[in-house]
Amino acid sequence: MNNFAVPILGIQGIMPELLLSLAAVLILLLEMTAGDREGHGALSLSVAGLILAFIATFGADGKQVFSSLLVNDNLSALLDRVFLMAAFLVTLVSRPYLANYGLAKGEFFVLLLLATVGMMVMGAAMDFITMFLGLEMLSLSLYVLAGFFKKDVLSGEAAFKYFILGAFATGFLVFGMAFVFGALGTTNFAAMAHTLSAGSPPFPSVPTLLFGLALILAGLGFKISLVPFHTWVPDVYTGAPTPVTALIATGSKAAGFAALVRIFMITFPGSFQFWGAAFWWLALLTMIVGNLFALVQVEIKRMFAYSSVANGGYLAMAFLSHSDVGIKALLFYLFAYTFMTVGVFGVVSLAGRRERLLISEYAGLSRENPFLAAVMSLFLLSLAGMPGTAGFFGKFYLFAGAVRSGYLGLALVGILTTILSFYYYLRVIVYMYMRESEMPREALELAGSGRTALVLAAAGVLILGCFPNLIWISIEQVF
Amino acid sequence: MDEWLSSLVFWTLAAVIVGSALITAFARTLVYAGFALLFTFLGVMGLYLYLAADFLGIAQLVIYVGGILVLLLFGVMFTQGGGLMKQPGRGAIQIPSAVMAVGMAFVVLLHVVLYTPWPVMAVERAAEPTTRTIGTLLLTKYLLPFEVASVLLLMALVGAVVLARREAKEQK
Repeated sequence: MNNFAVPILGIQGIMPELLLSLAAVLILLLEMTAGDREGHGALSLSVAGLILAFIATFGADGKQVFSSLLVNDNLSALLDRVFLMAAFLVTLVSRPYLANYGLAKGEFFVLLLLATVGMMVMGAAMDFITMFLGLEMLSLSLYVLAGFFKKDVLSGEAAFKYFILGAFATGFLVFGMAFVFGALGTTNFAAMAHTLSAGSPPFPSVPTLLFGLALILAGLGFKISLVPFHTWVPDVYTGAPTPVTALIATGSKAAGFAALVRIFMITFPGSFQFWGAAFWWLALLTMIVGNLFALVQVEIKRMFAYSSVANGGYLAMAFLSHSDVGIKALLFYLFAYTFMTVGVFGVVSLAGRRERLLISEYAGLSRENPFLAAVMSLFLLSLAGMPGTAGFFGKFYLFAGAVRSGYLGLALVGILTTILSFYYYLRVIVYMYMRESEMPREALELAGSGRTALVLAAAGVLILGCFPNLIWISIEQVF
Repeated sequence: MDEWLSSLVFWTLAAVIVGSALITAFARTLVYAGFALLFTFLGVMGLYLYLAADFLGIAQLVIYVGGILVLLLFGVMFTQGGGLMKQPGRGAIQIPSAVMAVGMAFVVLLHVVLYTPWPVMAVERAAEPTTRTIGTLLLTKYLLPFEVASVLLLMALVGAVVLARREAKEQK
């Protein structure tokens, strides 16, 4: 007779994930029964689920739940809040955006919520198995969301490219996980760290382990679009529906960084001498290539795609700080980056009745729609790193961390490329305020949820920019 | 004798896998490639069974042969009827870069295989099938991944419906 050992469940440890999944299932049921054609019910259920999940993240007690497959610590709680905020703002922007194309369907919100659940599972994973499942849930729903506009060829192209390249990257990741498992005999992060500290074979220089880590870095590097794994970014970001682009650029990227932090900085800090150099090169290339390519774009979504790549380079710099400083700077920048990036893509979603406007088509926006132009300028200034906005402190902490760890050259490259980025960010402001529009461009009606999302994102950028301590207090509690 | 038989089984399986994989890569028609792939999958299944991983072997058979390969052949049948494959460009750039990539991967893998102190454990021949252990673990220690996988499948189902619905009318 088998004696079933009942595992310690810890339902409260997965409360946020549970609430979101429940909301997703309720939306499906609502679709089936009530025929919620306008998407009002789906929107309210999503918003309610996201807010309840956000409240539930404050119940983090630092315990590992479900046989140490997930951890419910302050780091995962903070990451959860980043994911939930990104999903919340994207949900609010999506409703008017989708309604404009007559596509405000419940499934969109179901996929969006389940993608968020995937991010949260990834951020809290303490085991390769849970991390992989979270990543797959996130990626699969994003592939579908990217192709949500089935009549639009470019949207289909985006979904296809994202899927093929993403599946390839997942292959690398799983192959890497298999090698690390082969080297250490466990998939659990805590057990790996234990084996490493015991140090019976001469870890951390075993070739199997290093090769596995390299493959994992390539697989996750694709997710967070570090150069040279970024080639999918421009087409997918441009082709996907703009709110989906916002989610790929913020939540999905934050989840990738969360996985990298858990694996490299928390589980394998001892192998830093091997993977540190890889991160140095990736950060350098990403900052330079992202910013240079953003300079020459004419389409606004493509420009922000490269700008998002460049921001990944700044974030990758955090991995070179040996201590907790890096993780803290990374977390702060993730918060700042989420507000300003969802903000710009939110404005792009609502600024025109058709997809994929050129930068020059933003001429005269300040006269037609002063509110949109004003918040757009705020987000752009924050992305450029102006003092008084969230982007300034975010970059400051990242660069300061790199300098303190002795990477002065890399920090200098970061500062120089930031100065370069002023040009393409400010160019949009110049168009909006100083050029006359040549052709009439109808903006969407800015009623209700879209305006709320933009106001919230703008408030986030200003609050983080003027009172960074508000968020810094909870970041300090991570360690 | 036992040792000798054991390595005979292994090398036979290895020859089948590598040989049919080469045919898959270099076959002129998609149907040949697909059928050669069948033997690769069967060989890998044999390797799993050889290593006493019976569940993994059967899963390999059901998923890869029963699912993926059949899907692949259906795909071929419904598109080109197994005609000649359009050869992708094999120009001055493709061949050297392919050789470089494959060569580098080979050298790195060889290095990893040769220089890793592989932990060798004496495993008792499994007397009972592994399915019992796996089933118990899935419902106890790995209960959470089991449930997350169910949400993942729900998501995949919704996603597939979203992408496929209404296309039925538009196709042909």
